[in-house]
Amino acid sequence: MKKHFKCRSLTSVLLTILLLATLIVPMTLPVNAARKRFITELRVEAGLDAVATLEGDGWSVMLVGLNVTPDPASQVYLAFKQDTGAPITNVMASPDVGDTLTDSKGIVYTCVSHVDLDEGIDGTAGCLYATTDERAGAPLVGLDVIRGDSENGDVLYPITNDGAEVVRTPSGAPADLENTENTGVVYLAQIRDGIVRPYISEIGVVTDTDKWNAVYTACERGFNYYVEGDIDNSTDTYTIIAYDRTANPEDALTSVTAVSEATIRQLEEEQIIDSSTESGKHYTAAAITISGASYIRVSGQPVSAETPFYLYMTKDRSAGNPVSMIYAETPEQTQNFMFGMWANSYFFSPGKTTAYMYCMNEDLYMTLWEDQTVCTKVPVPYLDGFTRPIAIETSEENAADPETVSETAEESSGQPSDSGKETTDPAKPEADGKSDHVKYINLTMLTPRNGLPASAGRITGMQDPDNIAFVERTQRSDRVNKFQASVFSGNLGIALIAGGVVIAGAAVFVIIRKRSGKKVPAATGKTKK
Amino acid sequence: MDNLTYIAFIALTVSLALMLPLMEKKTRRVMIFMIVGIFACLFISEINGILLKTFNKNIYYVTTTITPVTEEIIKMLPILYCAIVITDDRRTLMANSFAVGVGFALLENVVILTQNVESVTIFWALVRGFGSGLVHGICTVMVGLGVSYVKKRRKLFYCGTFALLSVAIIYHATYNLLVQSKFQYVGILLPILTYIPLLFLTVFKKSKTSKTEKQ
Amino acid sequence: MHMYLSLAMTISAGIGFGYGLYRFFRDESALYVRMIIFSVGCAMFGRLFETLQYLVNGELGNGFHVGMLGIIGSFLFLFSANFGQMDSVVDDGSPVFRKTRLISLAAPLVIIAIWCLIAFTKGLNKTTIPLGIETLFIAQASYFHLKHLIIKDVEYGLIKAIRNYNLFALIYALLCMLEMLVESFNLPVFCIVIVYVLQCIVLILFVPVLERGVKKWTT
Repeated sequence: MKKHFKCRSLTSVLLTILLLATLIVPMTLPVNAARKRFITELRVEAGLDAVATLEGDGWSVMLVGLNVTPDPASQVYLAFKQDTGAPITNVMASPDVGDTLTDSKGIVYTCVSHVDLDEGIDGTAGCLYATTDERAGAPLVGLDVIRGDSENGDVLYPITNDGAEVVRTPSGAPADLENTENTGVVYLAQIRDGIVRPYISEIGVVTDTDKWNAVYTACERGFNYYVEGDIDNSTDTYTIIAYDRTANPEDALTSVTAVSEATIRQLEEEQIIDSSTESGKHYTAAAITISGASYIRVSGQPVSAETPFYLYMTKDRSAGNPVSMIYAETPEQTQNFMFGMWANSYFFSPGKTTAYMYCMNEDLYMTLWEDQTVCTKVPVPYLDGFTRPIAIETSEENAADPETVSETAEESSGQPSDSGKETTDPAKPEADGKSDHVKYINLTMLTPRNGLPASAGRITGMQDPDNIAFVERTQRSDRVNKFQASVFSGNLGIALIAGGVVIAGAAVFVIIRKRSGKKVPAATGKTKK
Repeated sequence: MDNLTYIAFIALTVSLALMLPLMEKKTRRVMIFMIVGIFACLFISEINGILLKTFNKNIYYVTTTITPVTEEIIKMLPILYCAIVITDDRRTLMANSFAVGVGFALLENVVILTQNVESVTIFWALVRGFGSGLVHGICTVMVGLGVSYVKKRRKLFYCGTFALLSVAIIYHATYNLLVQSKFQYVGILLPILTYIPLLFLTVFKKSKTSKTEKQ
Repeated sequence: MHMYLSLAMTISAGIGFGYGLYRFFRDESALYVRMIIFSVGCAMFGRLFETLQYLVNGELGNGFHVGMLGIIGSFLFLFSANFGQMDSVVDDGSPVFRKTRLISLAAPLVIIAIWCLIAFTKGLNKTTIPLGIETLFIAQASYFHLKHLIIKDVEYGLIKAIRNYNLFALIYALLCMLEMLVESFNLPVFCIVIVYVLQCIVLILFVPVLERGVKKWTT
């Protein structure tokens, strides 16, 4: 007996040692690097057998055609391969059919395949070109075909506000892949690695005849996001705020402000610095300083309003924390509405990119709503006067602010930077009782006080795209739900209550029966009589 | 159309319930369990609705990971009640379990049919009819098998039922996964391939038992 | 690669399950044996789900997935067979076996220690918590396997006959934990392959080893 136990104890001890040894050995081994799935090859094919041929050759085919046509023979398909070489960093479409093209930055693009994007429908979209040059941007992890037909009442904007970037032509205009006389519009959106960019890096003001044209122009100017809503009071024009995003808080805006045209004029009239530039010029201050923070002008022309105004932005940290969102709202709209609209529109996807799901936005919305400390609602100060004389900024001071200020100002406004002006203490217009301006604009910034909440990473509905190919998700969205596997309801709740009552009733019944000691026929095969 | 599930539930159960007084005792019990299955589907649709919201409206994830778990648990409850209160005879429990499963599938199919009435085809009917009907039936029978030990062997009941529940959940999730993928054909074959051997086994055993009884 | 490994496991468990059905379900056989065969079947279903998940979605995803229930169910069947059927035969609860009971705790402790290692390194999150639940089921089954491996046989060689099977079951439990470990720490491919291959071998041999032992009951 004793021997038996000794033997067994020894066995168990040996087994334990073995188990521990197997634990330690793998721990000492190196760790594999995380995988990434970038798009490395693209190909365009047209015709009836295109999908079968491409799939046969090992390509993943996007099952949404690049032409809006019922004729399958005229259908053009885009296919891709992943992780087969250097990742593609940008795609362009050009009517010039050649082997390569070079953009304004000197980046060389190679023709994907010499198949016309308007194959069979007599268009002028041309061919797709791709580059692997790192200067063109972060590697592509996803593609999305966005199609619309104005005959069906579709209004397709080239900017989707979902983080995807539309493929452009060499001139910077969004490339309509169905560039024909037909009513169809097809845009190709590219999704870059590191799509979670929580901060706003640049803003611009774009005015055009209507919303579509304004958004189109914003896209042409290189912006990928725009703020919903017309911020001018003119019925003939539509003015939007367009912007771009960054993941780097250091590169983010910290404040945006509106300054009335009259104030600027007053500023310029009183503080003309250089008489040589006076004659025949439309004076607008391209850079001003408010409370020590340098602001640069983003609107070339004043925005039409009862009191026309200019928008200024700053990246100076003394002006506040990095801005995550800008939203134009009327004074009647509540903060709740703003949150809701942000949740809805920020990553609203009219295309097929299910990667950005509305529900995820709702999740962020809840986070922001519950944790009020992370957001600050700051009405943009609307400067319509200065209480103190404005000090003239010296040339040294102007130079102290980096060149980027004037450069960006030029880019944004399209006008040369005139000079820097400094105001030591800007007036607070709301306090002055001049409230008529609020009829026209009440810009609101969402500024996280302590950085974005942890859930911010989920705002696009995706994690860091280490192992995820968004294109797969894109294809999944095409599935019809007739094979949906479960039933979902959730409005009445009657069944929920009834079911709960039935279950509780049955449980109580069983307990009472047990307590009363009633015997239930057991294992006899006979049922209760 | 919000209360479509309720409309389908009333339309189905009322007509089935009206038939109950005319039926024989054994078949009546099966029919009652079928109605219970239909109600279980209605009940779970509400829970599924809440879960769908909780999991960010990701239908694909919810149907392949969450709903198989909840549905199998809810379908188990009437069988457990039957085993404790009415009878724990295995054969009766199996029949009742299958009835609960089929009833569940019935309402599910009707609701999904009405939601997609423009896009459904004969193939869809085959997938839903053979696939969903059998999957729910087989899964509930599996759980019923474990539940039948509720009074005979408690130790086996607790662990065995949970183990069988796990199998039923995996089986159900596998079907849901396949049927929503491009391998729908495999999805339809899975329950059929499981059902046929089970059917043979049951019929074979039945005839063997009756032969032995006769002797 | 993971898809093929899962497929190999599905096939291996399928072979084991099929063999068990063929050998033991033709005639009346002990419920204990049937439950062990069900355990292999459950593992097969779990792996099948994982394979299909890889095939359809290309990934298993983080956190809980239904395939985990395959492992949980499998070990529950093993636990149920030992706890519900065999343990009351081999251990009458007398103080004689107290030492055996205590020593047997080594197996669940080691298994829980493996999970603790993962949890301490990775933290408690949506991946490690489901693994922890899985670990609990593996641990409770492993207790009885070690106990039945070392316990003194007093019932006419009943437990002695299936000692090899219990050893196999214990190795299977360990391999499942090692699988968790290699997946969690993203270890080199050959480690993953070794663990999977060993699991495949165990799953195939599970039922034949049990059969060898069970045969001794009747001879």
